[in-house]
Amino acid sequence: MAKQEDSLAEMSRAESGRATEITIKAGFVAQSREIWRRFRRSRTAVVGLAIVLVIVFAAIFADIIAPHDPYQTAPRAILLSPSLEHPMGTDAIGRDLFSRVIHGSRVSLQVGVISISIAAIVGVPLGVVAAYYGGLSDSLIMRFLDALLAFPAILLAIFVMAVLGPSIRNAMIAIGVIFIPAFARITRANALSLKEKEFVESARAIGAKDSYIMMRTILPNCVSPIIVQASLGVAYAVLVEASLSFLGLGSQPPEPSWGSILGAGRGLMASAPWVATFPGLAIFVCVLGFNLVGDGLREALDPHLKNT
Amino acid sequence: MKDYVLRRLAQLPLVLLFLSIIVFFVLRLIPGDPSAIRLGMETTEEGRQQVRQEMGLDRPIIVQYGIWLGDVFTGNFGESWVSRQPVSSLILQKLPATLTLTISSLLVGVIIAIPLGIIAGAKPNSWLDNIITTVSLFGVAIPTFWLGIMLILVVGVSLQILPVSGYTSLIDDPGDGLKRLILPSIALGTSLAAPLSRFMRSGMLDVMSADYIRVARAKGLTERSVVLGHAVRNALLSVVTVVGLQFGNLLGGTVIIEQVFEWPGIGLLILSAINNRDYGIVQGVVLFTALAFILVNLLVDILYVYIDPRIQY
Repeated sequence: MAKQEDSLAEMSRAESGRATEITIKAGFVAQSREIWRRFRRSRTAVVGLAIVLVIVFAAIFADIIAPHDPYQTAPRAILLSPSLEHPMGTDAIGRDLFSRVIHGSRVSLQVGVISISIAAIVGVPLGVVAAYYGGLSDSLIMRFLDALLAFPAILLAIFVMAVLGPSIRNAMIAIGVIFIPAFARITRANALSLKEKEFVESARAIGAKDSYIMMRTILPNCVSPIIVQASLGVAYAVLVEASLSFLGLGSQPPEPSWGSILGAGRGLMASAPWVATFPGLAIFVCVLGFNLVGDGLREALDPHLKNT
Repeated sequence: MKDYVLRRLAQLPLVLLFLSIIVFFVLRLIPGDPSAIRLGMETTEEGRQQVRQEMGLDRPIIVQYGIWLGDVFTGNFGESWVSRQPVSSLILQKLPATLTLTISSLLVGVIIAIPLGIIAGAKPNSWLDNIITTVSLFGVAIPTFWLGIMLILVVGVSLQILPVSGYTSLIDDPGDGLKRLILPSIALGTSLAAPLSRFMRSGMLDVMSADYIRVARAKGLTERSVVLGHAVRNALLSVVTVVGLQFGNLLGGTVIIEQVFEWPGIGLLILSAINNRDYGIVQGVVLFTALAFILVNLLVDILYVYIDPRIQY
C-alpha cells in the first residue's frame, strides 16, 4: 500500500516535472515569437537579416554557386574587365574574381563566428565571476580587461598576429582576444543588477551552490545583451580579419579572403580597379548586414530601450 | 568628483602592470625563442649563446621581465633587433607624421559628425534624420582601407587633382603637406564621423526631452535658438568621452591608412618591423601606443569632470 502511494507520488512528481518543462518550452516559443514580431517591425533589421542569410547561403553553397574554380589560374585571361563570363573580372593570374569573392565569404564568416565564440566563451564567465564575487577578484579581472582595452583593437591583433605568424587560425585567436573585454563587461554589468534580484536571493536561501546560481539563475538572464554583442561583434570581426589579411597578416595566398584579394588589387588601381573594388563591396555589405541584425536584435530583445 | 579622478588614478598602476605583462609575454609566444630571429643565418652554438646572453635570455623569465620593466620606467622602450637603434628615437622620428594624420582625421570626423548629429537629433524621424542615420550606418560598415583605395582611384588616378601618397611636413611646406593630408584624413575621418554622429544624435535626443528645453520653448524662443543655444552645448558634453575612446581606434586605423597612402608614420614603422621580424620595434611601438591611449582617456575623463560640473561619479 505504502509502496503504491510512493510510486503514485513519484508519478505525479514526474508529471508535474514534465508539465513545468512543457510550460517552459511553451513560454520559450511564445517569447521567440514575440521577439521575432518585434524584430520584423524594423525594416532595416529585416534587410540586415536578408543580407546575412544571402552571405551564409553563399558560404555554404560556394562550390555550386561559383561559376569557376577560385584557384584555377588562366594565363590567357589575365585582368579581364567584368563581363558575362566573369561578372567581376579576373585577377592578375587570371582567376575568376566572382568565384573568389563568393568563396571569400567562407573565410569571413568562419573567422567572424569562431573568433566571437572564443571571445564569448572566455569573456562571459569572467564577467559573471567578477560580478558575483566582487571584491578583489572583481578588481583584478576588471583591471586586466582595462589593460586589454588599452590597446587599439587592430594594433593588438596585429601584434598577436606578428608573433604567432599569419594564418586563419591565428587570426581567429587574435580577434577573439581583442573581443574578450566587450563580452566580459556587458555580462558583468547585467550580472551586477541580477545579483540583487529576488530569484537569485531565493536560490541562495535554499542553499544553492555558487556555481549553480551563476550558471542557472544569473547567466540565462544575461543572454539577450550577449546575443546583441555577438552579432555586432561578428560585424567588427569581419572588418578586422579583412584588415589583417589586407596587410598580409591574415589568411595567406592562394586562399580567397576578401581582405587579401583587396590587398592584391591595391597595386592594380590604374589598370584593373575592379580587383580592389568588389571584395571591398563584399566586406561592406557583410559588415552592414551583421550590424543591422545586431541593432534590430537590440531593439527586439529590449523593448524598454531608449531610442538610440 | 575629485574622488572619481583619484579612483581612476589609483586603478592606473594595476592596469599598467597588466598591460606590461601582456606586452612582455605576448612576445614570448614566438615559436622557438627570440634569439633565433635575431641570429638569422648565424647559427653556431657559440654565437647563439652570446646573443642569448646579450638579450638576457639566459636568465629566468621573471628576472627578464623585471629588467625590461625597469628599462620602460626610465623611458627605454627597447631597441631594434636589426639596427640596434633605440625604439624611442625611432618613434619620435615617426610621431609627427602620425600625429598630423590623427589630429586632422579627428578634425574631419568632428566637423562632419557634429552638424549631422545635431540636425538628425533635433528632428528625429524626419526625412533628413533618416538620410543621415542611413549614411552613418553605411559609414560604420565601410572598411577604411577600402575607402582610402577608392578615394585614390577616383580623386588620384581618374581626376588626378591630389597626390595619393607620401607625406610632407606641414612646417616645411604647408601647401604640399596639406594636399597630401586631405585624402588620408577623409578616409580615416569618415570612420570616426559615422559612430560619432550617432552618439551626437542620441545625445541630442536625450537633451531635447529635458525640462529646460521645454522651458526654453515655452518662453517663446525660436526652435533655432532652442537647439543651438540650449541643446547643442549640453549634447556635446556626452560626445566628449566618445571622442576620447575613438582616439584609440584612430591610432589603430592609422596603421592601415598609412599603409594605403604610404604615410611614413608609426603604422608603417610597425609594419616594416613585422616584415623584418624586428620584434624589438614591434614591442616598443605597441607599448608606446597603448600608454598614449590610456593617458588620453584619463585626460578626457578628468577634463569631462571639469566641463560638466553635474557629473558625480
